[in-house]
Amino acid sequence: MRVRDALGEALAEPTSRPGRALLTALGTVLGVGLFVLTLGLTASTGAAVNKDFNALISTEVDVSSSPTIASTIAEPATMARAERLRGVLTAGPLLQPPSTVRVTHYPARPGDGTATGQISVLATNPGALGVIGPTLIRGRIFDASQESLTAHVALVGAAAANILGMRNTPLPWWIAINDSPFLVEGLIGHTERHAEALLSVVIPYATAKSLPSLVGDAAPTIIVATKLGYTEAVAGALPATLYPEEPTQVTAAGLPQPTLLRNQVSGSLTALFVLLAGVGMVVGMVGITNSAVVSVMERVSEIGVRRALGARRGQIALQFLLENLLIGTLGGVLGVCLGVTALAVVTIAKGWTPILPIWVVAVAPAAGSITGLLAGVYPAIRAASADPIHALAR
Amino acid sequence: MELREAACSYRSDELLVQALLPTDLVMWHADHIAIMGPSGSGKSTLLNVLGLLVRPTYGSVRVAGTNVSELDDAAVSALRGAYIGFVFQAFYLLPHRTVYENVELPLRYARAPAAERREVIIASLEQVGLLQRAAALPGKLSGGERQRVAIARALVRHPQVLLCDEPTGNLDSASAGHILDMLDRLNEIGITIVVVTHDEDVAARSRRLVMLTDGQATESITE
Repeated sequence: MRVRDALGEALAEPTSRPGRALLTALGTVLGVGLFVLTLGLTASTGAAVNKDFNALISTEVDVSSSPTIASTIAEPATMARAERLRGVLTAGPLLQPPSTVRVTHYPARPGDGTATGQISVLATNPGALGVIGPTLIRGRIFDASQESLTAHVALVGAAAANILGMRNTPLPWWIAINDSPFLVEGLIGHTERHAEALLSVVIPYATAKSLPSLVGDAAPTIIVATKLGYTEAVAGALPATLYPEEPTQVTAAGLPQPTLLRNQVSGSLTALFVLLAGVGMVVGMVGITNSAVVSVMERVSEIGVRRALGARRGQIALQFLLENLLIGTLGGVLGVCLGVTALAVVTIAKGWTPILPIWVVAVAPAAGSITGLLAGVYPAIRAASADPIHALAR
Repeated sequence: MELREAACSYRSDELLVQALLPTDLVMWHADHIAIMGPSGSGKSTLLNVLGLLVRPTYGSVRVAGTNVSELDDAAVSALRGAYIGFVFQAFYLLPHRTVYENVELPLRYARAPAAERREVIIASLEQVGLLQRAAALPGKLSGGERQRVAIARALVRHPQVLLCDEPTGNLDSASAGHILDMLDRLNEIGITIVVVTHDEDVAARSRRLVMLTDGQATESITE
């Protein structure tokens, strides 16, 4: 049979019963649509996850040094040099005594009881607070002037405030840190980095240095916030910037990039979603096969007539194979439309950027065609095997 | 076409059923043969053997000197399409194809060039008087018209033999008469007509009669 004639015969049945053809293709439509949707969601969610990862984690460099020079490199002039490095947003010292201290809250009104707790203390300057990125529930952050005056002011993390029973107490409060009075000016509700601040009382670095009994032998680390993508370069430049006399005594490193974890998570998600899409395609193929077999059974007389009119078994098989190929292709095209539409709806609702690799749009209809072709093999064999005698006798 | 001791049997519930006992039959050019017999006598089996739709389990079938049993399925299909035309009681037209497309179908399987088909199809439809209904769907035709389309389809490849299985079984008497007259005219121009029928009036139009009883064929001359 000529190609044009074969295609014409194959098109005749689906076009004469378009509703049935659509129902037969429905499984493939859903399978291909799921394929497009899952791959699109994988790409879109991956981009969203990467965005979150990149924004918060890979933009900090922590600097440690030998205890003998730690206080030296934390001096304001040195911090100013660090902040002039390209890619640096802000920098400052972070000092945390090794153990908790006794913090007492003194009530604002006479007659109210005191509250005491063992709380961690963090000593920072405004530059380091910029790295921590606190969001206050109420109050204000201490500024550079209070830092330079070694003022006894403090911020309290929300969890620490709960321990002291101060969460709902109007500011300002008075607290005593190891019997040393401090005025609480702000309550921290959230941090971008260093969540331990929520469990701590945060005081100016210079004030902490003026209280040796508070800090003991603790040595500060330097925390630096960088622009996205500058972590490695800044980490490389900081030792020589902070201690040019002997940079080897200073160690600067960005927080471990979760690339491996991100790739593992992304890879696992992709594999799962592709597996789901594959299951969908198999379901679609089974649906086409089932419908095609029923069609062969219904059209046994037609097959008998075609054989009587000179059709060979191979020509009968080719006709049914092409019919299912066309139905599969139709399902693939409609499935792409469905998948793209669903992807747009989901990503817009989630506030993500819809991302769909262009190859998916080209491959998905072909996947539908292959599904139809594979699904049509068994029905084609059955049709070709039909005995024209028995077929015409029905 | 020649049958030499052609016999057909098949198994049914572990019983061997002889649908057609060894039969000798020779069909000549422009023969007109009627096949009669009660239900289950083997008429359809004999017709299917003559139509190369079933291979005899014993004996041979020769078409133009060629032993069909030595041919593969593809060759038999090609021979059937070129040599034999079929007309069925149920017409068996494709319902969603036009009259023109139904008549064209054998030419598609024969890989006839598209340029030559139109002329042949028009001639075939003119022969049965339905050229003006070429674009119609079978559902829009009367029973007699559908059978005429089936005849046109059977004639489009210029067969030498026309096998008709109860061609007037689903037609009123007037339409049946027109169909039988058409078959007579085709016979006059040299086409061998073989008709399976229960109707003695139909059988009376033939020159040879093959009676089948329990698979046993007996031939007589009617004119």
